[in-house]
Amino acid sequence: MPLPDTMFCAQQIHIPPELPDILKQFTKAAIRTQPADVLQWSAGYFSALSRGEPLPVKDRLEMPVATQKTDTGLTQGLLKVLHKQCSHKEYVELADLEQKWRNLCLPTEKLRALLQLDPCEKKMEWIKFLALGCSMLGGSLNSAMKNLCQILTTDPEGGPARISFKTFSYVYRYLAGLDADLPRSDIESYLDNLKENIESRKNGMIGLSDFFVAKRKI
Amino acid sequence: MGATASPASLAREPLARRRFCGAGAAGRSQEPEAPRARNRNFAEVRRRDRVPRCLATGVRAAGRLCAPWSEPSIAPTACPGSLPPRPPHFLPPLLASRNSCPWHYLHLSGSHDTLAPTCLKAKLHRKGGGPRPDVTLSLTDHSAPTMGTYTYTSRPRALPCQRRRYRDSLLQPDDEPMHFGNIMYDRRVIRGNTYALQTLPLGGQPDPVELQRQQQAKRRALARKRAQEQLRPRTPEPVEGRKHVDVQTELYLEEIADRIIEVDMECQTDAFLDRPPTPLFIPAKTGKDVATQILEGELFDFDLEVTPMLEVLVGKTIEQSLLEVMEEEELANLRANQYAYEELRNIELAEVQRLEEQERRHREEKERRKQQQWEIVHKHKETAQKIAARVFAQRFLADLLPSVFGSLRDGGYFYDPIERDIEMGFLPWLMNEVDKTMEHSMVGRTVLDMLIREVVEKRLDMYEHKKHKRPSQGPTD
Repeated sequence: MPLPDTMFCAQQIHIPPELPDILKQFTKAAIRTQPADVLQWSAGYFSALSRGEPLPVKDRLEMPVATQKTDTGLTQGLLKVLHKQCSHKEYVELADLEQKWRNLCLPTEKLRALLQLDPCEKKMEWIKFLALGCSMLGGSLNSAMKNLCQILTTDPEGGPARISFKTFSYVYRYLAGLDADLPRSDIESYLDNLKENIESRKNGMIGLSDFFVAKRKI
Repeated sequence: MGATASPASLAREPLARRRFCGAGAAGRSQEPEAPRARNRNFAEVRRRDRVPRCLATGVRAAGRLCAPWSEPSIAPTACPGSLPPRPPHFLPPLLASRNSCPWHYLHLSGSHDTLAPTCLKAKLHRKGGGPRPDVTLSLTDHSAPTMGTYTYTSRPRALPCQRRRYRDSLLQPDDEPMHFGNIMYDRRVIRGNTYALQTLPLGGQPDPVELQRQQQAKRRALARKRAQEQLRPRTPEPVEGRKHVDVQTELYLEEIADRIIEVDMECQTDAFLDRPPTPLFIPAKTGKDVATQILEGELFDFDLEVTPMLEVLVGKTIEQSLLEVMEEEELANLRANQYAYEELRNIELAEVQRLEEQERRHREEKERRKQQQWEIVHKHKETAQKIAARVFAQRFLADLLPSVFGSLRDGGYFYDPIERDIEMGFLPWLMNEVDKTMEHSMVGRTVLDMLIREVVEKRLDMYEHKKHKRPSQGPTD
């Protein structure tokens, strides 16, 4: 029976059946991501949803870190979101990246500052950007590598967080190369040392415990 | 009766029945007026029972016969269907006496093997005047004296209406209540003491004299019956190929009118129809119809109406989302912790393995070193012992050597070979040779001695011989 034109009671109001589900998913995503600017983030969310792209949603709820106020506001979860959105291509367009950056309610100046570390024209290798972001998260090179491992790994959260040694050494060399203080020979010897350790035991995969825990123990 | 009865008796029988029946019917119909009928009691019934034919069957037969010509009002009088219900014969008497229908059965004193039915209430209220369905006695007690047990059969029938359903007039009180009889006049009820009462001998042993008497009486009755049967003239047996048939043997042929003409009729009721559904009850309308016109938008404000729905939608969504997020976070945390612990455990396990391996290697090294040291110490000790022994031996031998040599030399272990050769070889030979030489000389001397002796002897002989011959010559030779 078609709905009459005139409405007489509240029972006549029709709610599209998809609406509650979309609303719920959106609410959950918003709760989980905790964007600073909900409107901006929602625009990004729905545009990604309509285009069928990966949604700018964190996998896990992140407690607001103390450094978020003072620092870039970048967190591991946000980097992970960016990784999820951009990692399908090897190179990422800077404009696209900036759009995504803004959708995550991150200040554009920070992006600029980040990009100044390794200036490039229009495109950037995604893995390099990710490495830069990781280095921005934590102080030392080791903690940056740890964050990188946790983002790139396919292991479940809390697991050994293994990535291939090739990627690891590439990123390590890249990050270490940015730092002029580190002598090249030290980097190579460190990598060789790690490589021996790893190849003796694991099949070319480097885990968090291989380099991070050892450092912590010392 | 039947086929063997003579035609004459056969023809007589219905008439007799009819007469009897008519008398009976007349008697019944006159009962209200007959004073004795009112007070008819058991004894009278019994007396009537004594007629050769049982009253009950007679009455029943009469009723059947009377039907065509007697008035319907009279007919039911003899109808056995109007009998009051009688209790089944197996009911105990006392139980039966409590029944609304007062048919009782008494174990009559004096003849303990017979049970005689009796009726307390032979008369029912029939004050109503005209003849109407009434109680009829139908006693089938003809078997009672011989059988010893009472049997009763009655055809099933409807319960007769014993009371009138309404009073004739309001003014006239129902002055004649139902008589159920006074139990004190019941002959089956024993009054007074029971000491003098004849009872069954205990143990079921009847008196033999009494038993004999009964048997004799029975036999007598049987003999009488047989004699009667023999006395009665009988129809001779039909000849071969024929049989007896009932025929009318009266002077005038009559139509048998008492036969009921039967015609089969059928009557079929319609099939049952389903009951139609009960129509919905609609109460009659009351009040007045009034109408109010409502213009569009007067009653419904979308923004207003949608608010609660939106509130529910948003509130529920947020509530549920929060719940779900919390739940999922909790689960994810649990899982993450689990993985972290597993990872930690793996690392620790590896560390433990490494330490164990290290420990094992250390222990092995220690063992090896210990072994080595032991060997060294052992060799040291051995060497020292050897040196000490050597020194001791040297010193010991130093003293020993000269004496040994001396004693050995004394023992002749050290000798000159030439000297020994002369001693061992030459001297014995020399001695041998000397001996031989001396023996030779001895032998020569002995031989010489012997020669001399012989010569001497011979000379002696000769001397002597010569002396003898020259005894005179003198001994100065």
